Amino acid sequence: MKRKEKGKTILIVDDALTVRMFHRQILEGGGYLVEEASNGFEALEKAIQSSFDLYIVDINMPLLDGYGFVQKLRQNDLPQVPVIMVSTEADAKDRDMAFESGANFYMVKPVKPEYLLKVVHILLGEVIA
Amino acid sequence: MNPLLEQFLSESNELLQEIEDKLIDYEKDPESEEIVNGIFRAIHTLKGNSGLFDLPDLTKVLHAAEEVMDAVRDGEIGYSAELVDALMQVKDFVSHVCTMVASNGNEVSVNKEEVEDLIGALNQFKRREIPVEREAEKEDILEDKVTGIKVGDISILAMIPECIRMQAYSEACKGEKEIFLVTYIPDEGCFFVGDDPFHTAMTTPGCMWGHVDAREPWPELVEMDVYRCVLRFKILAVTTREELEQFFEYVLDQVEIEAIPPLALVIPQGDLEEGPVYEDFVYDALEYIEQGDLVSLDRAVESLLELSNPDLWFASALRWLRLIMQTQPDNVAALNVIVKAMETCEMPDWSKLEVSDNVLASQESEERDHAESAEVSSRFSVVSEEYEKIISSVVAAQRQILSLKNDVPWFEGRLKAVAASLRACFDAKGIGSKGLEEALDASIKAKTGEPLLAWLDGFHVENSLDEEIRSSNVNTSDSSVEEGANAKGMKSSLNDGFEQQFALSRSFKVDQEKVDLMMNLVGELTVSKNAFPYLAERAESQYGIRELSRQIKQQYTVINRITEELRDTIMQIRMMPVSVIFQRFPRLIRDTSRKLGKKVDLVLKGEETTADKNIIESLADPLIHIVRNSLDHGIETPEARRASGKPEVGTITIQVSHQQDRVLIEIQDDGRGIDPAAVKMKAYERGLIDENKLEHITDKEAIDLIFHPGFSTAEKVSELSGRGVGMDVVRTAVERLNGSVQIESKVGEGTKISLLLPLSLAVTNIMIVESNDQLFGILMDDVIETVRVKSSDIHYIKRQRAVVLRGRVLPLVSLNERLGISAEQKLNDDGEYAVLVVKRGVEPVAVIVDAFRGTTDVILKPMKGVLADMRLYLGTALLGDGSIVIALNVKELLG
Repeated sequence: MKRKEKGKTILIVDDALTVRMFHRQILEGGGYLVEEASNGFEALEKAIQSSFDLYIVDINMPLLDGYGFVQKLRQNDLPQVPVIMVSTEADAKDRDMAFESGANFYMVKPVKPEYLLKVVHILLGEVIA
Repeated sequence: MNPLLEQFLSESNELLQEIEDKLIDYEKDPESEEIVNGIFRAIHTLKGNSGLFDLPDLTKVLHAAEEVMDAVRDGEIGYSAELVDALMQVKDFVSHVCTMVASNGNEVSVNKEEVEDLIGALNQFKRREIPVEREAEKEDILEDKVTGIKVGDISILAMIPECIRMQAYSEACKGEKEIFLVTYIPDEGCFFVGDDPFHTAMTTPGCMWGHVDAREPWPELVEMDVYRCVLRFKILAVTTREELEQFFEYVLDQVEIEAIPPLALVIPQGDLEEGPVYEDFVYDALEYIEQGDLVSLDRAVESLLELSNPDLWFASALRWLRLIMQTQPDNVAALNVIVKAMETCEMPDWSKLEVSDNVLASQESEERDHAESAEVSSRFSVVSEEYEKIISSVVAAQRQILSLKNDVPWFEGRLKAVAASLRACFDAKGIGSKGLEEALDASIKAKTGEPLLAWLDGFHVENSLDEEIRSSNVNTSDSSVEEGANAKGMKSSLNDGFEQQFALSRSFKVDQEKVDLMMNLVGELTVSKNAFPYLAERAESQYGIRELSRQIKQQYTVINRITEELRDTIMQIRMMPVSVIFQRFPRLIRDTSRKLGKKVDLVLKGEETTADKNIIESLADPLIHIVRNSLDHGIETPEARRASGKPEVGTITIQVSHQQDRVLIEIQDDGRGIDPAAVKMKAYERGLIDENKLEHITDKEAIDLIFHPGFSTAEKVSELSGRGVGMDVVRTAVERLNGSVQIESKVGEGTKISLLLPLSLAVTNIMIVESNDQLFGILMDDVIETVRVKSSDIHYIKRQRAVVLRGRVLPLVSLNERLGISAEQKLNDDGEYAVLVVKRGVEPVAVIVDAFRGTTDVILKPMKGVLADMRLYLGTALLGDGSIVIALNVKELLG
């Protein structure tokens, strides 16, 4: 448990277990701490309870979808950290909606592990040597 | 087997079952939105998951199914038995593929016809057909790539303005990217499925030029169906094939992607008449090329261009010649071809070039040797170049967000997030972001993204970032290209894991409720087996059959052993290592200590210790609270620590261990400790203790006061731990778990808080007492001792009964009195009272009861319904002899 690497925590919000696990593997491989939520509602609860450095959010989810979650996140007095939105749709409309809701980056699933890690590095402001 | 794949298969099975169940429900109730949504979501999730693995057929079929369900959801497709059939077939197909993956691993052979049939059947519902023939065509085109360009295409390429062709040509000559001509023929029904072909065409990655026309002659206005899409798009894009294919992923069947060699764009155009005499130039130019004297050639081209009317065909050819010289100075053959074409004013014939390219090869390789050394030195920047690209697209995305309207309630949050993202980008570049905060404030005040945009504009001019940012513009998907290769690598490594058989997987998921139910049943068994000793007792005393009694007792020991083993086994299932909650601590400590400007090391010991899932889960919050308190109030600032001769970095140790059948968690810090005098004063100020108590209270009792509700030693309420809740919350939470809290502290040395908790909540150990012929249970955790007290030993102090036990005066109460029973407590034959000494917060209290009935393990069922509000009772339990006992909440009883 001596995880003193980067110590940054990322919340993965996705209703698909497999996708969560996939993202978890990538991010843990990058030395990040990872927490999961299976829908926007759960994610919001977690966001209120503890603070995260970054969110990776799916769009289509039960109870509260990705758009709704990010909107609520942005509307609340919480630390406003970057949100990466991921979706299976390579549609510009979805991307615009994501930005409108308050996401900061949009990626199409399945994400390329290397690419995701790079985007995460950047959005966490880690100096690239 | 690869755990990710295992997860995929197990989740797929669940989802497939869900789809089947929901489809059956759908047949019964076609109107239910909930069912339709459920099916859509399950298919959507499956599709998303399948994309992680190299199963293109599966993804294709699921995508078609998802589109159909989307249309059903929107009410465009109604219920029909055929629809359910088709979806059932999809389910069977996916199930089949999953089974194959599970058993054969990478040897997944899918019947292509079956896939086409399935997709065809699904598309029927959307009133569209998939043009199967085009598959074959597409392959032809792929092969065409090398052989050059067809004449038909030249007419299209010639439509493109020269400046755009030149730009595309230069881009492509830089390497990395290629030129593509994309023909996009959207599906006729595309408007019905929410496609926006215009938008798609315009946002094509690397799009430089586009053209749209009808794929067939426009029909008469009266006959025209305006909802049928008959458009055809031609797009010239400079990018990579992967990126294009990724972009058109879902309409690949409607797209032809054709690679165009850069030279094919060299189509001089213009007025063929007029102009000066050019024969001389052609002659000179060929000579310069032969001698390799490009400087002279360039000079000749420039001077001739100045003389010529730019509208002339020849001027156009000259411009191309100049461009080729600039981009491919070594491509002598190409230069020759274009110069020769000038002689006849004909279209340059590039088809001959393919051969001469090979001739050039040897020459080129020499050049390459020179270039190689330069390349090695520049390789360092290659890594960060990829980052640069992504940073540019992230910045471009923030620009796009900033230009959005401010008509949403979360506008301010969005601005803050954009600022955070921008800050991260500049941090990543290592150049800082001066003035960003001010720009953000201005943006928030003005309720517009303008100040931030202005800052961004000003900033990147200053830092010469402009090129990357501006050129990337809005094209976010730009940088994902290179990663394609990496993803493929990942996929193949997944495949390698296939060999470890799925069938060998020996663990499976069980619903927690089922385990809970099992635990309850075992609990009941534990209690009911306790009936055997009673039975044996009765067999002997009432019926006088000693032999039977002995045999019952013998059998009892067997059942007892089995029950205990069973209980242990099930407990094991529910056991989790405490490390689950420890995961949050490194982060918590880091963040909190940074906020407070303190330096703290966290030492975790015994993380592998296990306890019941429920206990672990309900322990997380109290633990966090304790650790926060230690950080906030315990650990001093580095300066203070140095001054008192301690190491600058404080230590918080969390140690977990098993103590018989309990879990002991100790949280220790080496901070300033709790000052009993300060606690006493605070408690007095707050009216928690009176003056008399202030004088007499011991240090230990004083420290225990911090568990008193509404107590907080911090001078001011801090941002972290001071949320209006104190240590009393911790105690309440721990006591709810039948645990206990203890605190030890030495001023200047630190504080240790110990939590003692049961391993499991299922079985509770209680002491049974009798009062007024009724049985009551008291938690063994609350009981300190049981004693017999002669009535003559009871003293009255200020009308309050008291008893002296081991030199201490304890207040004495009667259980009957507390329960509102009017009967007197009974004395035993020797004239003694049965007295139970129990804990009440800090000090013990003696309680008179009628008789003790020993201790036993029970399953406590909480009070239900209207009784649930009666906090005096913890719950009820069934005893071995069938009688019921009510467990009392000592705190409430004596409070």
